[in-house]
Amino acid sequence: MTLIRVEHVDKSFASRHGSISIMQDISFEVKDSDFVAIVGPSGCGKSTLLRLIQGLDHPTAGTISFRDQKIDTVCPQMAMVFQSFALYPWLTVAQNVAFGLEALGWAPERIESQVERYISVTGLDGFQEAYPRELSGGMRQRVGLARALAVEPAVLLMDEPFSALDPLTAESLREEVLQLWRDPQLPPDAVLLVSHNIEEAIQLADRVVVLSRRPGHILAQVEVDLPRPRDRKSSAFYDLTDRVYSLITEGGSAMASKTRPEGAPSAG
Amino acid sequence: MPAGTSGRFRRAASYVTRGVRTGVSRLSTPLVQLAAITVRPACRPSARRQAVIYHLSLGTILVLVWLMLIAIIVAVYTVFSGTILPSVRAQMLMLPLAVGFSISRLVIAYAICLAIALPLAILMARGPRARRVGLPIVEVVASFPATALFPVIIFELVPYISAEGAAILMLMTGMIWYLFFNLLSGIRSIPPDLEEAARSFGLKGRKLLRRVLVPGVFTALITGSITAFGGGWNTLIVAEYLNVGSGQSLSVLGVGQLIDIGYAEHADGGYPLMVAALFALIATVIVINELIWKPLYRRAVERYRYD
Amino acid sequence: MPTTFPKCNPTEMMGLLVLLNSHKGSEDVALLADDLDLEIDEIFPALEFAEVLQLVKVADGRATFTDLGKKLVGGSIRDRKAIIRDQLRKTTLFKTLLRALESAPEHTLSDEDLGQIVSLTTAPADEAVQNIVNWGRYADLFRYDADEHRLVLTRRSPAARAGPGQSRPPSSPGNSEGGSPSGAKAAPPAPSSTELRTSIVATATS
Repeated sequence: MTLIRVEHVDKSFASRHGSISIMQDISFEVKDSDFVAIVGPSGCGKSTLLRLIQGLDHPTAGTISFRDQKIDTVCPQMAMVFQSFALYPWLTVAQNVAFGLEALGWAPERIESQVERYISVTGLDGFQEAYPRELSGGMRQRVGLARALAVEPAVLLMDEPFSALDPLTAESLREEVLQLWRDPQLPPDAVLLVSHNIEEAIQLADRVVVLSRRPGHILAQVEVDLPRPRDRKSSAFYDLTDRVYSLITEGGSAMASKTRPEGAPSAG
Repeated sequence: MPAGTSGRFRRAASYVTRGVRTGVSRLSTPLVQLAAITVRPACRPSARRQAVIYHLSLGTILVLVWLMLIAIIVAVYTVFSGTILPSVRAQMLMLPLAVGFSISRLVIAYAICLAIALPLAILMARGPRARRVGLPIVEVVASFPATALFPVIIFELVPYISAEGAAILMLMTGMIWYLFFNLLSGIRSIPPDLEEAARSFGLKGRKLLRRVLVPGVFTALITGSITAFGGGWNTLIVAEYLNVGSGQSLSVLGVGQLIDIGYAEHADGGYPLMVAALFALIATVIVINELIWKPLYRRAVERYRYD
Repeated sequence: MPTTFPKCNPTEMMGLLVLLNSHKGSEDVALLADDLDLEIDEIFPALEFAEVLQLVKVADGRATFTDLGKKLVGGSIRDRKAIIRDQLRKTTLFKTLLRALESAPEHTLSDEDLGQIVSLTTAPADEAVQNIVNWGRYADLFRYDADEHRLVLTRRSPAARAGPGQSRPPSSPGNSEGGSPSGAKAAPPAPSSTELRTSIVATATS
């Protein structure tokens, strides 16, 4: 079933020079069990789009609905994970994970058991009383993940969650997110990931929504049909990355890209 | 361990220092915990009750310790300066009470300043328009020498708000801007993703302020409060005793007042009073620094820093 | 059993294992590094650590999973912790550390004691302590109290404390402390600091 429906969404900001259009006519869906990635050149509005979907901001035109209900305020069935982790330094790991539950008004005993569960699920056992500054980047993002999962969202929204991590740590966390998503007994049902890293998007997602440069519109939605774990060196993987690169470069903007290994045909 | 007297002395000194340090940290921990509890979200009511009881008993102990300290100062001075005039002696015995009054005045002035400065800082921090209009005004007002206002306050306002009210008002002028500017910069330096994360979990309005903004400005609040109180102690001497001309004076009981009286009557043997009051002031400031400000600041640095 | 403790945290090592897994369990070290656009010496600490924990074998510039490594990478996030916990217990450093914690009063060690123990084994200096504390916390072998600056042993059920090399019974989710009949085992009398030091030296050199 369709969880999120984005229909003909425009977003523009008012400024001294008149209004600036960030994105135009964005339409796509996120269904149950989907893993969707949104990629595009910087400034194309992908992070803004995520915030519109969560309900932190409102589209200038068009509608966004969750389970066929229009989103006016922040949607509690979605939870976000941030690039900069956004952990509260004065709270312990356990208290940070409890944050969303307290905001929802859960009773303290229920919060305690829920927090225990998601700390265990995300591998944070042993760090309950630690403070964020004692943790490495990877552990901090795990806390962000546990905090988001603890409210048991239907959709997990991720805003460049691995960009601030070193490559090995990012690799580890990517795999863990996949594990958690695939587990039918754990939230979330679907994941919506924003990334500037095309390889990462293709490695993780079933569908990649490719945005153009500003004003962002959808260039294409690329299906990724490869079995997991995906081999970045396989020709099928190369083809997909090439396809997305060409879409973006033809859409007219250079984008930070990984150097392609020798032998792979260059784009455009 | 080095042998001989120097070694033994060094060892003794280190024991004493360690003892004092542990004692100070043991005394100050409950205060710090209380401060921490007020900024932490869901806390069990039993822990809060415990903290209040602890704090009250600690407060009593602190008052007694400090009374003893004042008494010692006075006694030492009596011993070294020979006779003191009976009127002056009476005032010296009032010293502890005077210090208590001064502290209360400072606390009241501080509380009012906080009640004004915090909302003002929030308004200016979050509203670019408010900032553009309001900040220049505030900066001009803040640069105005407050003491120039004092004659106005005395002659126009005392009939309405009494000498006590006037003293507090004057103290406020010396405290509020330290608080305001620290709070303003503190609020603006809270990382925006912290607020965004809170919003994404559904927090807004007062809950958002309490969970994110209040703990977020903790460090700025502490530094602002330290400097505000510093400004307050400075202003005391002027605010508590006013020479209104033709040998007349208007004053309220306080350590600033006693310093001024001591000075004014120094020819008549008021000198010991002035010195004793000065010592009392210094001792009080040091005690407050060690037991309140320093531990709070340490806590702010340990726990509330954005890394 | 080597006791070098390369500077690498649990997530980094996991990342390396996941990477190796996506290369079907065996790969040239240079190609592994290249996949993530890294230099070889950037993945070396993680590789070394994985070797110390017997999860990976490196030979002729090629890294291959051991059976245990394969098992780990195929397990859930919780299962992986359990395997890492068992493997850490086998290292001399953690054996020493845990024995010291067991015999310490209240099963806690201050920062200074911890530093002393670490320096008595062959582990490298200072920042290594932070690394070691991190691993121990990750494996839920002990907790670290940042307020009191000390290490606290995590109590386990007697069966789990049977010692390294023996398989642990399947652990329940909240398996850290509480519930275990720790009272059943008579606590050893708290040793004096000189006894503690002697015992540390003894285990370190054993």
